This record gives sequence, C-alpha cells and structure tokens, in this order.
Amino acid sequence: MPRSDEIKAWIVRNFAPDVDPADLPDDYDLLASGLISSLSLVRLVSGLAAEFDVDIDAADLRPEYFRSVTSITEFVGAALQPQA
Amino acid sequence: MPSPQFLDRFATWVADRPDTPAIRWREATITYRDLDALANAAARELVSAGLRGDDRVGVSAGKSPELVALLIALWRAGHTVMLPSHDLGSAALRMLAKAAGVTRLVTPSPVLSETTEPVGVHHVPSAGDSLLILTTSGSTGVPKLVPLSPKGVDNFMCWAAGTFDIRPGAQVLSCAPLNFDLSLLDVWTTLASGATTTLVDPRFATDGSYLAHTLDTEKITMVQAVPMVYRLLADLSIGPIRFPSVRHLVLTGDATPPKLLPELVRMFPRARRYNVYGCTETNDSTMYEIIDTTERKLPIGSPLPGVHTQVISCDGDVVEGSGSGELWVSTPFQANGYLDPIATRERFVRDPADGNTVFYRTGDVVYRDDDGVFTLEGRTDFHVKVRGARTNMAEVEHVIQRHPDVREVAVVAVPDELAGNVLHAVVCRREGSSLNSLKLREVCREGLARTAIPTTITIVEEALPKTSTGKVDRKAVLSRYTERI
Repeated sequence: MPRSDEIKAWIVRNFAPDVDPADLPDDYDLLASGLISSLSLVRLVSGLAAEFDVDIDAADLRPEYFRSVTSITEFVGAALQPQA
Repeated sequence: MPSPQFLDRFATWVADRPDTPAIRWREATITYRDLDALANAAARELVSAGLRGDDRVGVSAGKSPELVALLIALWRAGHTVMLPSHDLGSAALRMLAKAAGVTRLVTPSPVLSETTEPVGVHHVPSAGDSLLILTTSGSTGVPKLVPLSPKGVDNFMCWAAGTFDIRPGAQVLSCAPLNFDLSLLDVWTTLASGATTTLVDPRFATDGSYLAHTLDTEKITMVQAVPMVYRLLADLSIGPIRFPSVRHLVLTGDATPPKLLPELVRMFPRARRYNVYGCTETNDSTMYEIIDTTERKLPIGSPLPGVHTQVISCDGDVVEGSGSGELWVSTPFQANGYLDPIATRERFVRDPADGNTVFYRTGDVVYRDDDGVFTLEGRTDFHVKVRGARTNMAEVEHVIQRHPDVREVAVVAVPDELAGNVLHAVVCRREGSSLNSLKLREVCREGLARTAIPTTITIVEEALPKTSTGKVDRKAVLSRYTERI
C-alpha cells in the first residue's frame, strides 16, 4: 500500500510544483480548490495508475474518490488489494 | 420558465397528462404527477420551516428533480428566487445573498436543511415582478444579479418551443447547471410544453461515455450544449457514437473549434445544427444554421425574430452596413436591467433614435457582413469562456489580490480545444513571505466559482512585466511564464 507521503509528492510534482509536499494537508480539498478540475481528473487517474501500477476501471472515475490525499491513498490501496 | 404562465401550463400538463414523464434522472422516471407531488411536499416543508410570504429566497444546490420541484414550490408561493452557481465559495455566496436582499437560504428535500437568515440584510432591492434572479460575472468582484422578466421568459418559451419542436414526445437533454440561462430552454420550456427533460448527472457532466450512453438510451431529440460537450462525444471510439434520434442540435456559450464541425454531421446525421449566441441579460439573440461541414470559424448568425441590433464603433458611432464594433442587442426575452440600478445604467441604454427601445451593451466585438450575418471577434473587456462559463479575469485577479502577501497578480487565458480557455495566474509574492499556491487556492475557493479558479498558479519573486503605461503586460506575462507550463 502506498504511503500518503508518496501520493502527496506525486500530486505536488504534477499539480502544484511550488509546494513542499509536507505543506499539503491530508484533507486538503483538491477538487473544491480547483487543483484538480473535472477535466484534469482523467490525467490524475491515468497518472496514478501508471505511477502506482494499479488498474483503474473507467467506472471508478467518481470525483469523490479523488477529493483529498486521504481518499486517494485509500482508493489506490484498495485497488492494489489482490482480487478474490 | 419562472413565470405565472409557466405555472399555469405546467398545471395543465399535470391535469391532462399526469403519467407523461417530466424528468428522467439516473434512469428513473418522474412523471408530471410525481413532480407536482414533489413540489407540494416541498411547499409543506417550506411552511414548516417558517418561510414568510415576503421572504426573498436564495437557493444554492446541485441539479436534481428535488431542486426543480423546490423552485416550482417557491414560485407558486410567489417568492423571488436567487439561484447562484452551486460551486460558489461560501464567502462569495454570502456577499451575493446580501446584495440580492436574500432573507432566507434554503436547500431542497429530502431534508430542507439549514434555513438560515443571513446577517446584515437591511435592504431588499426591488426585483419588480421577477420570480428568478440569475447571476452573471461582473467586473467589481461581485457577480451581477439579473432578475428575469416573466414576460421575457414567456416570449422565450414560445420562440424556443416552436423553433426546436419542444412538445409532448420531445426528449430534451439538460447538460447545463440549473443556474445557467440555458436551463430556461432545457428544463423550463420543456416542462411548460409537456415534453421530457433528461437531467445530466452533474457528477458525470464531463464524462463523454456517460453522455453518449444517455443520448442513446433516452432517445434524445433536442440537445443544447457548449462545444466542449460535443468534443467529449467526438473523442469516443467505443460505445454509441451515432445519435440519429437527435433532430435539433444547438451549439452555444462558446466558440466552436472548426475541426468539430464535420464530426457533428457524423455523430448527428439527422439533426438540424445551429450556432446560437446570447447572454444571461438578453437570452438568445442571434442564430446561425449550419448547413455544410466546412472547417471554419462559425458566424453567430442573424438576429432572431423581434431582436434589434446595433453595431457601435469604438468612437461611439452607429456602424451602418458591414463593419466591426461592439454589439448592442434588444430582445423580446431580455431582463429590464440588473438588480443594481447603477450597473443597469452602464449596460442597458435607451436608443436615442426612438427613445423607446432598450439596448443591452454586450461587450462583445462583432463583424457584420453585407448580408447582416454576425461573426464574433472578441471582447471589449477581460471576459473569457472557461468550460462554457463566462469568466471575468479581472475579477479573478481581484480575489487573489486580496491576500495580503500578494504584491502583484496577472491572470491570463490560453485557448484550449476542450475547455475553451484555461486560466493561468502568475503571482508575485511579498518578499520574505511563504505564500504558496495552496494558500491562494483557498482564497479562490472562498471567493470564486469553480470554473474561475486558475488551472495553474505560478508564484514568482520578481516584478511582473509592465507596459509603457505601467500596467501589467498580460501578453508578456503569457509568453514569459505560460510557455513552460
């Protein structure tokens, strides 16, 4: 399971290069703040899938899964669980 | 269609065809009878929430059948409703509610939560007989409030229903949020006409395959949307990619990318296609029917029936015949002004020739050809379209500038195939400050609609480039900072 600081570093590198990853709070609302827009969500998801080597189904493209570092960490963690 | 006539016509459909679908939402059907029952339930909740007859009401909510029903209930009770963008920051919402004289903020059922009385409403500006106040981007940091005239919306309903065959059996797609003037056609004209409106779930509004699936399964006959929606559909390669049920297709709200034009014919082989131009203040003003597939810049067309236009040169002279200038329009659909009389005087002007016709100064620069067909050339101010929403870059700058650590800010727009425009902010921060883009995003979130929040915020230490008159040189900012984005 990826740690939230890995997710943070990746988000900052791609969407807020001026920010120190440690300054991005776990619960910062990425959607309401416009850091991730409905159009860049696709870029976020495909980037996450490549970076953390997970399969993300198009049906999972619910914005609420990607609202914060916490929710992304949970989502990627769940996607990495071996399927039964 | 917020007017007594709308309520009468809706009531007629409830009585005559109660089982006709009024709304399709998340694959469920809400009939005219169901919608009437929802509105009655909302009316009871409003009473138990202690809403007074003279309350001016603000409603901020995402699109849903419950929101449609709540608005019907409020209009039936005679309330004037302000309907701002749902994703407006809380500070901006409070400021707007105050400016509009809103005494109660309500949200739709199932729980009519938090009817709150905003503090500090001392003055309720007159909205005349208006039942619905929409908002539009202003230049002073607060969106302008546009009270729609019931007579204007009745005229619009009559024109739109006739032009786009909106009548029982028509299936109209509603892509835009309910606070956009586009909903006057997609939702309110549809419900006044005994037809069915399919509400696009706002969570999937930019999901091309969801939109394609909806067009296909709902057998949509009429679509009105910003070009971005058609672009999302055109980019699909799997699932439904042809939509023969569509008979009328309206492009509006933004310039259409030329490459999209041949795709429209491929996707909508049986549809008449139109480019429609209008603004919240006047509603639709000009229309151009697209009869070929040539890749080119589309004209916005000729004035609709009953619409008067003038082209005013930068010297303030009336341009006769072909030529360029600011477009002034007078439409049978238009509002009588803004809620703020000072703003009204700036933009709504009486024609000196007859002293009677009221023209709205659109701020759009157009070219009119020999045949009287208009083409949009640009703006006289700092407005651009971002994902279909008119956005004032000066307003975005104004909000960012309020942060004490901001020394200078420039917001620039870069044209984008999908979004229309993408906003970039370049901020020079105070020496020694630790200001970063996350902190500025919090400021934007409080004061701006989601579409107005810049996609990138670049923090710099050096002063921004200036023109010879000492103003921030946006062109230089654009080339110096946005090329590395």
